[in-house]
Amino acid sequence: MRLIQFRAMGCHMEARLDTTDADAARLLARVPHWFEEWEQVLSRFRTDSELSRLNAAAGQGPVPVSPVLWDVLQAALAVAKATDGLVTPTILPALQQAGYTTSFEQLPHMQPDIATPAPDAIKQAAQAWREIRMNPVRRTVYLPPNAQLDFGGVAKGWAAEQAAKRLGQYAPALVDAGGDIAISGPRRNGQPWLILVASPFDDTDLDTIASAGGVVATSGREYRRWLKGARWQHHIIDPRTGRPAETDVVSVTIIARTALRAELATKMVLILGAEQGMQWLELQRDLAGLVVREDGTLIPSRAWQLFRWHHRHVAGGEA
Amino acid sequence: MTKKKTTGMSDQMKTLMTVASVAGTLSGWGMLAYRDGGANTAMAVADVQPTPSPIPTPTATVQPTPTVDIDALAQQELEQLVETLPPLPTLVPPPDTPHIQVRQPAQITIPQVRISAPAPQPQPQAPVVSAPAPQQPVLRSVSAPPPPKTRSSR
Repeated sequence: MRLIQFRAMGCHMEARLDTTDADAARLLARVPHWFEEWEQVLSRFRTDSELSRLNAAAGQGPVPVSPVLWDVLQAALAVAKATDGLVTPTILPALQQAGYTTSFEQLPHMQPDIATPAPDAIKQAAQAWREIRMNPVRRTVYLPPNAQLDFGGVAKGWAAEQAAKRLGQYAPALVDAGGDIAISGPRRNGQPWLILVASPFDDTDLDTIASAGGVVATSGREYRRWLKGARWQHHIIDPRTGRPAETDVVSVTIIARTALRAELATKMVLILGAEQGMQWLELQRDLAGLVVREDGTLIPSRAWQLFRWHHRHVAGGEA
Repeated sequence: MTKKKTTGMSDQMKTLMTVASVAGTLSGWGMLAYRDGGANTAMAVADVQPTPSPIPTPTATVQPTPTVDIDALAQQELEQLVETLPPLPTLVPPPDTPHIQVRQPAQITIPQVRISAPAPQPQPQAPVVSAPAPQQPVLRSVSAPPPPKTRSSR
């Protein structure tokens, strides 16, 4: 097994190739450059990124965009449409209002509670995704005046998936983008990859799953959080209120075929809460999930059992 | 009648002094012999002086001691003792004594330990919010790395 570890997009990254070939090292060495290129396009924390330039041009007419920005924006808008705006990229004003104004590493974890824009304006901005226009022929994007984009987990999941696809042409690959994990296919010996599900409360692991492809993603509100005045804030925005979601769910792990579906599902369940979220999740036949409530309760979906490594052993399934 | 002038000690006195001198010499030899034969007694002999007792000590009558050959006696008694001892039993190993093989210990490979100079201790600094230092990518070849973890982005 050959692997490379680095930091990108404000997260720990790791790419693995299931091979002993010495040439694999050269390919793995290119992965950080891929992520750097994608971050320069998709980061809202870099003032000179393509996304920042697009945000700055909101209301000024169609803007030509790169294929990477086009793909990610298309995916983010598809998620917004599928969730009727519950998970949307147009939440940047709400994030800034909550205090998430710079990258998390540089973010003051205690902030004063200063005057903020009217809640209605924030909520309207969150719904501005409906007014975004994309021209596939010219590959241009028009943002309405109040629309400001933040791709968040969509960008990381998309990047992990892209890297796994590229590496997977060479050998079985796994790419971990800050906890969002994309897998190109089964390992060299035909076995699935094992993945630990970390507890949101401490350094222990909640479960071990086995997956031979697709994406495993986790979203939570226990790590990226900060105090604003006397209130804890986090980065999972509920567009209905324009504020960080008030939910009894601490973290959600989803197993899906694509990064887009995994991102959609984690945010959906977090925002809806444990009860409604699980009801929605059980209706999705292509998803498996594990919900961790703030009281420590674990709620696995029915399909989750199929991926549990210990379950497979106990049930006498394949090892 | 002319009295014979006394010129010094009388013959009796001279005899007495000669006897005393010989006795002193003998006792000196005896002391030396005692010192040679005994252990750690030199200081005791040198320090302890006889104290004149005001009460006259009755003189013990010295009886002639019969000569006994101690070595011969011990040898004789030993021989008698040995004759009374029962014969020693013959030591034979029990038939079911397990055959113990001492194997060669497994070869122990001592890993090479490289001792390098300790890294300098970081100086405490005032907490500041700044961008983390860029981390260099780490490329590795691992036979069985631990499974990756899925968790909220960090």
